[in-house]
Amino acid sequence: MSAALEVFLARLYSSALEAESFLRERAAYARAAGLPEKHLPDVLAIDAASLRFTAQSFEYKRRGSANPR
Amino acid sequence: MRKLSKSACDRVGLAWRDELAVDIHIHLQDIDCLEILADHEFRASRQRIAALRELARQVPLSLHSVALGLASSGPVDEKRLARVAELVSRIEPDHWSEHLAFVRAGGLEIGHLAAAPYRPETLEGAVRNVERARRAVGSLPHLENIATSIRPPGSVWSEEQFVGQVLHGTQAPLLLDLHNLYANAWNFGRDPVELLRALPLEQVRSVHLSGGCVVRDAAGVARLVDDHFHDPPEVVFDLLQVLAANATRGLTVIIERDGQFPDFRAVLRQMALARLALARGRERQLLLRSAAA
Repeated sequence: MSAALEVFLARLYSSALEAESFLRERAAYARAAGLPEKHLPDVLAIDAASLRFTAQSFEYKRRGSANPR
Repeated sequence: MRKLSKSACDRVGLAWRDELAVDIHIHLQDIDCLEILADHEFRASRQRIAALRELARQVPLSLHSVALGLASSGPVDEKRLARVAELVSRIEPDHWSEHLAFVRAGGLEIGHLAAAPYRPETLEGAVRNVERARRAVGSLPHLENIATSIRPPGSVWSEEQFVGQVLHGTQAPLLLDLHNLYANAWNFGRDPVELLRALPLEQVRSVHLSGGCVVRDAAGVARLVDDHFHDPPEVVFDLLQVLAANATRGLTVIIERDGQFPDFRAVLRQMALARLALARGRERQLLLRSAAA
């Protein structure tokens, strides 16, 4: 089920701090978050700069008044 | 009399923002169509709804929703869907639209549009969600491509493959945001025209034009952010021309701006540029058809 992957991504995208925690210890973080093993390669392959940029950008936009798109 | 593009089926207008309201009313004869942000109107007063309904009688109006989360393996937010359905019923817009994005999962709100993994489970979920939306609202939404600064982890398809399959599975019209397309092309090192041509252009019925800015990430890489705070760049009008040369249906083009609003004369100039791009694209299509006949 990719629902579990979506839940995991929502966790990273909804908090830049969570994204940083994940990037420090990817596999341990993913397992602790309950991500199924089959998705582990998917999240281990995430480009760190892209994730940081995305999480920080979402954080910035959540704090601002821009429309969410 | 509104200045229509070369093809009478094409129209050019604006996303309604209260900051632009006075100028929009003054220049309504120059505006072919308007787009209202649905989520801003969920708690609108009766008077405001009546005003929007009246506006919808004066000019073709579309209702744009931003937080249903249609492109997800999870179910669409039914409460929000009911609110959108109620608004559509009360305002009677020309059509309504929503993004191909996921915005929440597992009780977590992302607060923004995110690209869900381009994979079969998301495709199946998106098709189910669009059908739910169609049943609730009474018509299919125009589905909009989104900008993303990260390739969705777990993807097995490209963005255009995913979008194409969702459109095939739902038969919904495509609301093609050309700046989102351009931003994704920029950020992932792709040719925007190739990306455009890879989409099912026969399903494009509406278009968004907006602008953004280039910022450097922590690694020093330049990234294009679709912020709606800047004018649409020239390349976006070039893409509109390519689209008009290939699209088989009339296009409803909306210019979006969310802040740093320019003098309205600049907005009118952008609308004129959009009309010019549409006219040139349509002329090219006619020439190509004549040559092929």
